[in-house]
Amino acid sequence: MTLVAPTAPPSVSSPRPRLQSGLWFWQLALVLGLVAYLLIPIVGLIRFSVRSGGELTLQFYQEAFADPDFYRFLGNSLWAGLCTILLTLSLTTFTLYWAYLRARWLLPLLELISLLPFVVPAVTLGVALIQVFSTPPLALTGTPLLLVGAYAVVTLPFAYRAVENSLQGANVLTLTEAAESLGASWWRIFLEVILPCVWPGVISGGLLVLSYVLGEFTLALFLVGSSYQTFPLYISQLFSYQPQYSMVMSLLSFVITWLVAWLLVVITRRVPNSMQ
Amino acid sequence: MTPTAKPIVSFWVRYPWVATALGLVPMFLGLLGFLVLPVILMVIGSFQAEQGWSLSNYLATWRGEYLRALLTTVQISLFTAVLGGVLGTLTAIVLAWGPFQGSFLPTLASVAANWGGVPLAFAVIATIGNAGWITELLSNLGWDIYAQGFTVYSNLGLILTYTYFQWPLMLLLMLPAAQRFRVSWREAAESLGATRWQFWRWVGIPILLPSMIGGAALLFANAFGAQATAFALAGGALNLVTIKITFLLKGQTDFNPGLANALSVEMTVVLGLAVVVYQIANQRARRWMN
Repeated sequence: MTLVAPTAPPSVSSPRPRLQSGLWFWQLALVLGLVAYLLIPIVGLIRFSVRSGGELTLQFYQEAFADPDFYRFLGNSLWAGLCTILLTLSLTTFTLYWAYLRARWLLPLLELISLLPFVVPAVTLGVALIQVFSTPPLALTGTPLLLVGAYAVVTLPFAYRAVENSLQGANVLTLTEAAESLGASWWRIFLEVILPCVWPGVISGGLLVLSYVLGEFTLALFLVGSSYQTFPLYISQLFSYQPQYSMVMSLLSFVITWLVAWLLVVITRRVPNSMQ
Repeated sequence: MTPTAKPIVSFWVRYPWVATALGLVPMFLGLLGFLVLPVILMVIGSFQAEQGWSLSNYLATWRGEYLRALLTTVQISLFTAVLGGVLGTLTAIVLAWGPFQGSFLPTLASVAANWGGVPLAFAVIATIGNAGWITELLSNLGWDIYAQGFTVYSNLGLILTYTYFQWPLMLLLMLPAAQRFRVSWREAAESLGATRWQFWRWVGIPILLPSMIGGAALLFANAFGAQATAFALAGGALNLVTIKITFLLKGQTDFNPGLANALSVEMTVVLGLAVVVYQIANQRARRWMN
């Protein structure tokens, strides 16, 4: 699972080459093929979730949403997501700003963080963490604390990209110097000058983190398992005894991902990216 | 605030690096505790067996089912990287240069690339599983795919499933490169008398190739490290490294953390290579940006 935000097209759109109009059939086939490929499994989910013995019914939706476990486990995921957002975004925003201000040599190094989840995917991180944190002095396995710590590491790249984008746009150095010369204290500069500048980045980073945590399965399975059931663990468990419920929940997870993507588009549109 | 603050200020002024370092401490500690040290301990653990230092974990991963799992994972990842890479690149070119310019498709693509995991596996089962709707549709048309040996719980099923996120991911990775392709580059080629084939051979593909290779390397890494989708799709029926690791850590009969460590280290080496390829390709691709 990788998070890639839809990129806004370059603001100064230079004329691009046109494809030969004779290729229109292949162009259409490719685009329609992609749309069909992405939507056909969703149709499968919907169909499976509304059919009971050849009849159409919403019974599974009613039952699935009546299950108190659903609210508990979705709540667990949301809670882990919120904690991760707080941890990873405050850390990223602060550290990036600090690096911009005082340690520019660190920026290329920080950029490497964005490649982290490809080198250390969830499986590897899970293998590494489960062994360190299961021995007594640090026995955190099974607690949401460990899960949030792991999520904070894995989601750093999303937070990094989002915040970095807005920091680049705002001229933080000049703003900080201006605020300093007016006698603002350091905390005041960070909270009242810098934070409003990077707010859109923080929000879109937060949305990406939330979407990731709500769908994350591997680390939850490795690090907490049944002692802190998360939403994806619940979906996977439901499949063995009530597959229809699990289809309903899978559909819900698709809707949530859509909502997040849509919100991201809205935010990117409303805040013109001053810098590319 | 005023009189007592003076010596403190002068301390920060005299030793500015202390403040600089202090500000970086939280991130540093977090990465150290939750990433660097655990990974180092994992590497150490992979070289240890019951009697101390040993290569036995690695030797065990290079034969039998574990070797097959490594090879299968590499093959499937390569295959989906190439398949998704080609489809995604072509779609990106059509989107950037063709008549379908809008944000609906990129948004749909980002949803599909981000979704994945357990729900995707179940959606695929509901589509081309034993009782999936496409399976039923085809069998009503007289083509029973399961009678002909197809099953979704197989490498082919996994490839079809991974393509669901690889294709849109490549589309998103290639779109910026395709959008930055200048019409003047093509006009220059045409005014020099280049044919359509010559344009692609000497201009189009050389400019897009670094981005393509970089994207394909990320796709490879993406498939190689994926666990949730495969685990939910078929569990132990698939012989993949990530599935093996899951059973080595979580299984009752297979429990063997040392072996899991060794497999994880090997994964990290392969993924590191993929990311190096990505970095090099990306450097070259940037020459054409702006």
